[in-house]
Amino acid sequence: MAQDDGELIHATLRGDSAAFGQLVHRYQDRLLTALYHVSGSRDEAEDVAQEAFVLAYVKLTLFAGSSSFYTWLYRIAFNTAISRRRKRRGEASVEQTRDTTGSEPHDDAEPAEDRLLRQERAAQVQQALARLPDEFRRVLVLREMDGCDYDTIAQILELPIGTVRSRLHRARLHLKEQLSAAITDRHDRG
Amino acid sequence: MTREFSDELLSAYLDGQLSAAERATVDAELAANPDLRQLLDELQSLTLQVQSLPRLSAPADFSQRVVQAAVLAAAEKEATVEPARPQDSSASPHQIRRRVLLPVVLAGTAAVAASVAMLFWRPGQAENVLGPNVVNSAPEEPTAAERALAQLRQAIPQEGAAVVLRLRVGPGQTVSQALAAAGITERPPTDLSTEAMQIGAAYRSQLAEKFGGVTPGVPNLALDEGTIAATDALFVEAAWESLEQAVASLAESPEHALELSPLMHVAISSIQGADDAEGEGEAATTAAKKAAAANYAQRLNAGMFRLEKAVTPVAASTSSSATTIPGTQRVKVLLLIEHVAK
Repeated sequence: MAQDDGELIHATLRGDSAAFGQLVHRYQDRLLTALYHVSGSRDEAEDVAQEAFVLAYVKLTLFAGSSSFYTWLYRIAFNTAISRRRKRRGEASVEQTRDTTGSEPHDDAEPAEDRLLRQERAAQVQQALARLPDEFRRVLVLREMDGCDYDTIAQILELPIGTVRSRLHRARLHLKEQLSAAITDRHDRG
Repeated sequence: MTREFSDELLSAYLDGQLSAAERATVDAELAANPDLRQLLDELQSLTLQVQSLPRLSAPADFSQRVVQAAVLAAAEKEATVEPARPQDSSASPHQIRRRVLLPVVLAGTAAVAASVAMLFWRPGQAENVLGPNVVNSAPEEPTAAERALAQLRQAIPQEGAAVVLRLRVGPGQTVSQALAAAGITERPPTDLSTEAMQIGAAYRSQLAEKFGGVTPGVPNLALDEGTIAATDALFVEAAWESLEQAVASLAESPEHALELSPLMHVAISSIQGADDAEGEGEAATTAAKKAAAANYAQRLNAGMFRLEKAVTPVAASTSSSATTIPGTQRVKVLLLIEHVAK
């Protein structure tokens, strides 16, 4: 039977690093996906995720258990991502570094034309997401990609819950505008 | 839409994050306002589109790499370095010895405390450290294999200590194959019963003294410019004769002369813990001894190890009298491998 997070954390603190490996394995895909959509780069997402897990391991004795391990880990990861981005400001923009995912599940039953349209739409959404201000993108990714409730988002981003609510709504409105502009632009050129 | 109504409630409505009273307010507003209903539909559609963006899967070895890096980082963090002091009255003044207390990262329950003394030397100081000066009287030009073995022999410290070796290999020189051919089998990177992590941490600490440490998210230009990434990292613990055989076979390549540069010694003395002292750990100790007797190589995450760009070749003697190492002596070597094009 799979051990819960608390058991794995206790085992890790007793020196069982394989238990920490199980924690990593449990959250790596979710964290990586969230960080990818925040940073726009798979390499950056992997680097940040690794740094976050390493920091979590080193600071595990400080984990008080007042939030879930996952929330605590995300807070570390998002702070790491913000810190790295601040340091690298001036380098390539998110749009420029965004790489293609190529990892979208392929549905054989879906007609090729539909699949192309869906992929094109997904690319537009991804580009619009990348153009959002950082604070909007972070809150949106946590909500839409990770399914976090407002309280969890508030804990991860260390924001009042009211700010989460208003920021999330403004983020959606921004994204809607970005997508409308992209579609209009495409029609004008087409 | 009434003046009091804030449309930001719509998002929270969509997400099911409203109180019953707030939900009732939004329901009433939606019933009266078609524009608001349209906005809600658009937001819902947008939400679904974002939710259907592709998900990523971590690479197969991701958790393994993370655990290695984490254990190494913890070892570095907890390492306590005392001020440098002379080794002893008979030691060369060039010898610097530091006592480093590393965390117990050995797997299992055996209470084994390891105290590690790192004996640093720079390539140019190799002979001071490695013992009496040796007269090179070999009149004939040594073969590549003889040269490599002489370098290796010189670099091997006394039993119990380990050496970090830089190995420059060319095309066709596959270290893991040579080790396997010599009966040195691969052990999983997650096996933390070895001393690989402590030795790796000691090396990284030494490099950090010269180039500064690595802080997540903070670029270290000195490190980036002064070093290159190792392309492979293997910790080997084996009988001397097996390692000798592996290195000899690597050095036989006619295309590239194998280059070995010792980077540092790490002397480890393990003290049996309370369990063993009371006799309770006898079976465990026997098992540990059996495990230790096996020849093995453990692959570490090469990305954690940097190598200085400037390499000063070590003056190695080809005289067989330089150092005699019993074939069965256990040797511990951290190989930091650099692949060169030709």
